[in-house]
Amino acid sequence: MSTNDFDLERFKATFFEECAELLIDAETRLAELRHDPKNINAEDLNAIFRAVHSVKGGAGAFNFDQLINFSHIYEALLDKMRHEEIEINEEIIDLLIAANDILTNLIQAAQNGTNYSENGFAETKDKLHNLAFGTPSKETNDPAGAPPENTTDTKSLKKFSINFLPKPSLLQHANEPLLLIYELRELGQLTSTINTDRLPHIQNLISDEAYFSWNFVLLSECSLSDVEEVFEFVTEDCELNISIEHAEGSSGDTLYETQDEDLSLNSQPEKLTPDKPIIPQNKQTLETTKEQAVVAMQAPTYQTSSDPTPSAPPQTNSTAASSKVSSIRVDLDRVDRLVNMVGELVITQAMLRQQVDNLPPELAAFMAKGFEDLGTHTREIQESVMAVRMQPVKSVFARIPRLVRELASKLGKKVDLETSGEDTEVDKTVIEQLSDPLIHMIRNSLDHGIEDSSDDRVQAGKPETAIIKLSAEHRSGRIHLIVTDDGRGINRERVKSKAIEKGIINADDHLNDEAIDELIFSPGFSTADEVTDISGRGVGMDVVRRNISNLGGRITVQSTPGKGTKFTMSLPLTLAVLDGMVIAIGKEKFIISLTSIIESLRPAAKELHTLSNGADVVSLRGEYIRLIRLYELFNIPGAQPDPSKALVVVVELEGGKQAGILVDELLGQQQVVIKSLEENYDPVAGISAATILGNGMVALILDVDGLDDMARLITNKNKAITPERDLQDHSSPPLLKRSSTVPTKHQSGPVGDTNLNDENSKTHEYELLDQEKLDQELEAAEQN
Amino acid sequence: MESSHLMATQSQTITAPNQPLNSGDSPPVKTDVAAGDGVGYAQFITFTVGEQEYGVDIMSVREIKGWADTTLLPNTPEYMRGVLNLRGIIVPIFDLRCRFGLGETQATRLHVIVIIAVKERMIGILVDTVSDILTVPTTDIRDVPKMENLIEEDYLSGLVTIEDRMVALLDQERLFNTKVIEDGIAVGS
Repeated sequence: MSTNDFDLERFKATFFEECAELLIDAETRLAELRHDPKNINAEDLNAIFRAVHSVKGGAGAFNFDQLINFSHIYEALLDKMRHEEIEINEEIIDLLIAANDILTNLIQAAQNGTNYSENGFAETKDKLHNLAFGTPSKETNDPAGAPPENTTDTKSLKKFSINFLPKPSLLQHANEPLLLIYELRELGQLTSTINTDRLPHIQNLISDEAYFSWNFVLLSECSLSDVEEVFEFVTEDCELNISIEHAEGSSGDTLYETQDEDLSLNSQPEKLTPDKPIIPQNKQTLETTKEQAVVAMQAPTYQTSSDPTPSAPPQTNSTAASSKVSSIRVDLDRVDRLVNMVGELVITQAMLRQQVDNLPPELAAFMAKGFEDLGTHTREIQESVMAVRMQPVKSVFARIPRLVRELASKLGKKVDLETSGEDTEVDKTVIEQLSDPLIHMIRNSLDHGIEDSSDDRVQAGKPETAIIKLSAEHRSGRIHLIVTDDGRGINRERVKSKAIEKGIINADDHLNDEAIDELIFSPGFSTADEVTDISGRGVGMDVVRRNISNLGGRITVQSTPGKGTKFTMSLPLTLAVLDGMVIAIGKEKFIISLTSIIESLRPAAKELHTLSNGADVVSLRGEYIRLIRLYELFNIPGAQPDPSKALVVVVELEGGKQAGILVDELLGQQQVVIKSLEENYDPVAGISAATILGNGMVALILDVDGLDDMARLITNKNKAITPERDLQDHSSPPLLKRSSTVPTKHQSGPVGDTNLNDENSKTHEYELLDQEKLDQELEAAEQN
Repeated sequence: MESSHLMATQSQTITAPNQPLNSGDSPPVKTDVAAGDGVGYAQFITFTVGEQEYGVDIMSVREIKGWADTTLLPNTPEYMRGVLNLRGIIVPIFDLRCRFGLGETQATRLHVIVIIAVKERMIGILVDTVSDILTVPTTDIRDVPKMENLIEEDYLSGLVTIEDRMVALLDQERLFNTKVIEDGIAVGS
């Protein structure tokens, strides 16, 4: 291991990264155990044990004493559990869950370089200690090196005689005998004798061959298992003999051979199937932890696919498994670069394909065949590369049980969480964005959805414990995340009165049930009478909706009073590509995301109306929708200004409203690779991103919500101020944030950004006023 | 890599009838960079816009390519000439002539885009021709004199005189930091 500081920092970073993964896995498994404590899967326990052990090992390497100490106790308890020395009941599993939480916090503390001390820490630790060792822990900072006694062992001094012969693989697996010796030394008084007989002449020396062997004599009070533990990660890579003699001199009768260890583990009578670890615990350094993390992450997949019946899974012996590396850790940058280049390949291929038609016929036929094959292959490469970035949503789901547990206890509600579809895969970029909206939705369900007391539930004829269901599934090329609760449902009367109070709707507005439910997504709407730290900070579901729509997704709500509420979040599987419609205005081409397009039509002249403020509307089956003249907003020359001679693409806006975008022509549907415009330039109003078309030209992807904002501002301006007046007039509130891009030729701050700063929430309000005005206008138009 | 791009474009630019590269009246300055006299040297790529010669730090230049049609961005300043696909990266192109208030460049295939890195961003500047690689002792770089009503001055990092030519060195970080541009316009106009 390097002594270099930089390397150490890097190793530390890797360690924390892996800890996070290990803990997520452990937490998932604990949740499973919790769900069905009667039916403990030995593999789950083993996996949790391994996770904790790996944390302890890594912590040891970096001297995180608090972490080592705690994980040691935790691990000891797990060890007892997996050897069935302790009866497993719900209480214990709850304790394990608490321990896992503490471990998470400890790791965080270690990462921040702080000491962790929170209420309940010592208590949980003592409980664990009690169960693991039979006595409460002495509050010490002793590292794992001086572990407490096993209750079955006597405290007498023992003499261990250890014969240690490393195989070359030990070094190749990046283990270091010296570290093992250090660890042994921690256990007690150590005398070591090195055997250098096998050392060849220097000319024949092979650098990664293991030439030395050792004989140790250890005087210690510790148990045999403590000594074995030192070698736990190298049992595969060495020949090891441990015998105990009592210090009094009587020669030990226990001869322990590592080669038999696996057998002895396996021969636990009651466990028939996968109780043996999938991976050998043969290494100790970070290198190993890494591999473990990867394998451990995969383990659940194998588990869920196996039948409840103990049909033996194809469990190979551990040596064979160790030689096969089934997954590797790859830097995301590299994958991104690959995705980028494949995108280019697809574009180039399309470009060349177009040129084939210009070739003389005899050549064209031959080339066309070749391009067909090339096209198939590039598509396949593209799909494979995209698949590399796909990840199960499990990593997001794993955080939820803990959240529910904490919130439920904080709120004093009894709530069970049921999850399904954890293995549903979605692009990494989406995963990263998924977490916040999901957490918000869960919080919302817990806080607002579930009845305040279990009495309320019992009175309503429902079981005392509420159930929140979280599921993920693929549906028509999108991922659906569904949060369902069996709570009281949306209180429509209350929502309505709140909306009136906040000026979101008028008192005499007649809204149907769905429209009232939709109100919870209105900016600034929050029904909680009291602002809690759980939800109700006034930045409620509108933010969730905004964030989701920024990802090209939608959120809808269905609620039945007294029965519960269901939120459905629908998101694209990837943010790297998008199904788009290519449209033309003048000589310019733009892309509109297919998911936002509802229909396109050519309106008759009589369906077009202009409101008093200059806003154009189209009547569409009795509904009036705003017409967005893109050529006006973007100053595009040569466009068709007459909607009855052009086309109107009806798009769905944030909040379920509709608008019509005036375009000259629809050029066709195309899957495009999304490129950031902001990488090298500033955000542009009305544009969400860019892409590259088959001819190598850049095309802009329209941000329909941004366009709607722009159009609304222009109409308001026409109405509010005379043309001579300064366009930058700040007395017109909506100009504050979004307008400067429209009338002037300057850039302004990001449009439609999701930050929740004060300024933005103001914008929401202003927007609201505008919307109100528009709605009034529309209503007036309707009455005409 | 940079030099190979440069070569490719040079061959293209040389065909320009009006302004051949390294024209006779301005031979390339061959200064020995490795001169051991303790004086620091700086290297610039110079290009012309109309009569004026400008230079940018050679280390910031990523590529030089002929003008290609760009995709216009709506509601952007006039000198923002749209975006270009540079092997999968979207690069904004700025018109240097227009930037200095001298009107829009009527870009033809003979015009040149110099792709430079400004902090983490990649931008392209549209110029008439690329003329030289300049190696000058840092002591020869003069400050820009303060003058009234000159937008340029804020965006130049110095002036160099080579024989009887004056080369204005661009401070691209200020020039194309789009936030500063906005302020600059507001002040300059």
